[in-house]
Amino acid sequence: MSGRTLAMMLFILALNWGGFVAALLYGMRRDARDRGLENDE
Amino acid sequence: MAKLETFTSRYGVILAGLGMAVGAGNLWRFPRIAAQNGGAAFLIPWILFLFIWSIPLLIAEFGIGRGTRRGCVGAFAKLIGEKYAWMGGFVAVTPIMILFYYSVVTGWTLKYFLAALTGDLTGEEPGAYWSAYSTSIWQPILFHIVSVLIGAWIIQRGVVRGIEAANKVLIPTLFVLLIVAAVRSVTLPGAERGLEFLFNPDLSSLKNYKTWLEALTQSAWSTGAGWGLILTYGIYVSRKQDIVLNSGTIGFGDNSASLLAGLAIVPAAFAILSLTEAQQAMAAGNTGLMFIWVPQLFERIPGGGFFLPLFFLALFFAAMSSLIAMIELATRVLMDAGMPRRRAVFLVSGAVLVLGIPSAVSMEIFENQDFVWGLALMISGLFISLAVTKFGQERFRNEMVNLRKTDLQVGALFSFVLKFLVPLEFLVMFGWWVYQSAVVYDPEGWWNPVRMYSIGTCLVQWALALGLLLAFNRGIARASTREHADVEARA
Repeated sequence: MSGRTLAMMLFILALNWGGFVAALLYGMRRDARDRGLENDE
Repeated sequence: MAKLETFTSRYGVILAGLGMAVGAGNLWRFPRIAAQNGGAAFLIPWILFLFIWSIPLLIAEFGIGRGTRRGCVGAFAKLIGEKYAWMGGFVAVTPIMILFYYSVVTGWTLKYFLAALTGDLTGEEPGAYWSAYSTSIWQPILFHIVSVLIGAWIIQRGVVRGIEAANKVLIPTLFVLLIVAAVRSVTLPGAERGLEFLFNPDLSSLKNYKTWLEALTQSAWSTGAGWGLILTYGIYVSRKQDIVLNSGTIGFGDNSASLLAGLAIVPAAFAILSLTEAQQAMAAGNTGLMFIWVPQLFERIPGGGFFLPLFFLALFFAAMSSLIAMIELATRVLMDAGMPRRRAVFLVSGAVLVLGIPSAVSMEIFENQDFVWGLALMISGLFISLAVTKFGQERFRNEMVNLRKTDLQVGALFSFVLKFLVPLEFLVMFGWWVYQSAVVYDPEGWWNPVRMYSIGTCLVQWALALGLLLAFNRGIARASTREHADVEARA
């Protein structure tokens, strides 16, 4: 496999999986924060 | 009457959304379309269209469903007025027509999972098993019935105990199975030829308009944006939920599942088959790739007897999680008219059992319906964008999307995409498919309504649906906007 193909593969996978995992983690953090706020109230 | 159920958490919403979006198309369409259209060069516009078609439409659907707390018909009537209920009716009719044959597809995947498990698929001539199965009468009907009954059983349990609970099992398992299959595929000797085929950045393909149109079509069909399914799930989303973040997560998750499917199939095909055979497999169409080539592929892979059932189990889970979204859409339309959930599920599943039979026994009818209603999904997407424009783009953003507790908010760019780009993309994409039908698929009979891939068959079937909806517009609008205790939001 050429270097260009490898670079492209890693870029595409990082973009999609990175976006997916980052959005999931951000959502979980938000939920945890909201639960904390509710408990404080 | 019971209060409206809502998903218990963001995780529940995302898994339900992913279940809706990740379907057979991710596994059997994406790998071959990507491979045929310039590999990585195809993936660039495919990702772009996620942002300028799929995610904006997913946000719009979530907003409409949550804002109106109605299924497709009632949502349009409440959002832009009762005289437009027919538009919501068309958005509902399209996935319901798809449901009538998608249950058959789900049945095929279940049959192949069981056949792989019992070893029936090994040692067969290429295509012989599929040919015998798809031309038999009773087997496709039997597995269609089993699939509908499983889907109906899940939906009658309700939102939390049914949809959410099922997707909490189906989707994580599906991702794990796809990761296992992808790892097996890319670690085969010679897999790099397939990776080269899938990810080689042949940038000259970007000059070809077909690459762009295929990428837009793939994104639109794969994410399920504009189908009315997320609109239906949006009914059960609390006002605390950040629908922009949820839409982005579902869009990226769907793309990620497609990439896993590509990694599970293409490298294995190029590692195991000769170059000519691998290219034949990629050009064999959805069912050809999945039901003829994949069993042969796994037969020749070390440990294939173990991986083949897992692969078809993943395909069955993907299909089932989408099937239940379609059953829920139809059920919700009846519930809006005052019908209890269980009775609505009973009626919907009864209709699907009967009306799915023609597609179960005839591949011609199946392919005709897939063509006609697959194209109609683009019209549904257009209707959703038009509804938001009619309601008022800024008002929609303020009242339906950017609520007080949301971190991620959309601005004028979202409205620009929905108001101008989505209709423009629709015109180009729809025009191209009509052109293809007239010039490539059926140049001699493109006008003939009884031909399988003709424009005539599309126009007649859509006109029939639209004519009925327009004729009964007032009745369906009133029935679907009645006040029920059920729609009082808990959020």
